[in-house]
Amino acid sequence: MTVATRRRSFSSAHFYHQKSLSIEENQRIFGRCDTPHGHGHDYTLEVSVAGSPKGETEMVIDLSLLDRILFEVTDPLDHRHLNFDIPAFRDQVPTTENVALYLRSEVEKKIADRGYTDLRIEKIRLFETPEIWVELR
Amino acid sequence: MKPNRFRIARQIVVRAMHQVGQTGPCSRPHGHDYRVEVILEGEMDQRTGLVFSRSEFDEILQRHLVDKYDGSNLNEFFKVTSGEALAREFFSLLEKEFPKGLLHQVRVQETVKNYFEFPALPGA
Repeated sequence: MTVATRRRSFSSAHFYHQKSLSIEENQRIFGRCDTPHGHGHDYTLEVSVAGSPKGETEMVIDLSLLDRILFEVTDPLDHRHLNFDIPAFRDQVPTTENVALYLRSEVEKKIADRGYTDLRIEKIRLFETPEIWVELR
Repeated sequence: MKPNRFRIARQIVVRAMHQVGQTGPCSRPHGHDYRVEVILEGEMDQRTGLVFSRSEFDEILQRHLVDKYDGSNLNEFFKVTSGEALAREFFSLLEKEFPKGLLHQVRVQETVKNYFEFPALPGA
């Protein structure tokens, strides 16, 4: 098995606020991430796909296809406000963890839609900033 | 990792001097901008969407790494200050500050050419 990783960046706004908690609890848990209008990040998504190198190219997956998939999952979030513009985050806090979960699910759907049954996602790593990342395997 | 089990990481910078060994260039006092990456692994709280509080993570690293060692001579704190030793020392002192089992690994990047991880983990 070999793992191929591709990355793509997108810029989004968000804030952290859990409606089922009180104002005080939100402030205590989320601190300055809990504001009415939010703040922004230049996220970078890395998707690692595991599979067997195939054919004369010995590629796990055509990288331009993987790039296309990354574009399709990140473009709806790019230059948008996650809390206001993305239905998946109307009722869940767009923490980096939840955004990573959402993106993994979207990438899995895109891979399945194209009929690639022999590929699996090894891991998703989402950088909120160059110094802060979340990884999901 | 099971689904919904995450690794989360935060990196800080410690600018410090040190010397290692008795001979060679590393034995002369010199300094680095150490980039220390601290990696936690755990379950996400479904209600908050977090594995661990961001501000608490910041505070712990600020108090136990930056405030103590930024601008210091690391040899005043640790007997051996190779990247390997620092990764192990930082892991050991940070382990006590997080809930049990949450601290997964510490990675010390000494320069753009070399970094050290403790503990060594499969699939890291």
